[in-house]
Amino acid sequence: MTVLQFAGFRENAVQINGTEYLSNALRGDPESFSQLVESYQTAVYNLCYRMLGDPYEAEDAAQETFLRAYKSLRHYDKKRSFSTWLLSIAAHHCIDQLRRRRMTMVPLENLPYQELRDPTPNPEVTLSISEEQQRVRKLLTSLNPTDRAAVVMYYWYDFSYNEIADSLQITLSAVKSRLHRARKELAQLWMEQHSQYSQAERIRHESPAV
Amino acid sequence: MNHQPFEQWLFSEEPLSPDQSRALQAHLETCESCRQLSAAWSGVQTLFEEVTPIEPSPGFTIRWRARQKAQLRQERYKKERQQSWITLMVSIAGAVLFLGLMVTQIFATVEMPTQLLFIWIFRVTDFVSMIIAAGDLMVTIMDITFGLVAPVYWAAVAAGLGLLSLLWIFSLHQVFQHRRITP
Repeated sequence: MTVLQFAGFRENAVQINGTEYLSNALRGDPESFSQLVESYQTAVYNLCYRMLGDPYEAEDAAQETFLRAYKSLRHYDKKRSFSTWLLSIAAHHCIDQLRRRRMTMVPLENLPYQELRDPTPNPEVTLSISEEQQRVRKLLTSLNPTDRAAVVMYYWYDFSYNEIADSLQITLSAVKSRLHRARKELAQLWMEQHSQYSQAERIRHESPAV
Repeated sequence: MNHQPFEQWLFSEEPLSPDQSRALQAHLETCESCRQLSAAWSGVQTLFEEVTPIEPSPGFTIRWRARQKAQLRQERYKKERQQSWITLMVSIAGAVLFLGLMVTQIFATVEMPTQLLFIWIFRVTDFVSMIIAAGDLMVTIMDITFGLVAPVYWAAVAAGLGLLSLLWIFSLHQVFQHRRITP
């Protein structure tokens, strides 16, 4: 799914659920809120996973996000998009979790690098889905929590600069500056990853056939 | 080589003017590092566009409902505990206030606390004297009565009273005995 399609998902979710379920949930219907959980779970979970990089932590953070949203539903401003509000809660919670992390993180470079088997002598290597996810996780982990949140919101959820500023409670110029810095860091890390990957591929092709 | 403002333009999402685009292209043709950086950023963007969203494992909503119920239970328990503590504190405060008022009232009515002590001692001694006088009166009445009625009649009365007492105890036992209810 492309970023544009995923951004479209957000719009569809709002259109399908933004009227009936949300209205009933605001009137205090718990079943309607459960329907909202069903509708937005992928969006929230995906954001939490991109932020935290671990599926269990992401599940916990996503669950906590919906609990907080449920508790503070009476404070929800109807003029604001529900998905923006919900994803802001998720982003804030994830940023707090990242700052609270005390355990030593094992650098991703030390994890075993899984190479794909390429039975054909085609130089174009097709990355598996898990490989893609690992690369994305590696890239995002290099960013500080707030920059990471800004990148995830901008590229996965199609947030505008103003929405990012509002969600992260920073100024518009801070958003632009953070995104600019993050793009450069990501590009530099990509170059490092690519050179490592190319070297590994070269070694694999140069090794004698068994 | 000076990489500005080209590096700035590479990572800016703002659209470039035609002149800026031409200048950037010209710079990229001559600068290897900026060309690599541009290619790297394109790679990152492509990866972000192509990577699929991660979905939670099935049953997410069910797990959320269970978690919500557990949290509501915990909050209710916490609230009940708080209310119990508040009730206890208010009761203690009320009791202390009442006691304080009582003490101040008592001390307000007597000139000195020792006077109150003497009053209570006199009352107790009066009560004891009254009991002794009542006892003396009963002895006198019994002396006169025993003189008028023969002892055998006294024995019969005592035996009758004893039998009545036994009957009473037996009937109480029957009333309070546990009965087995058979279906």
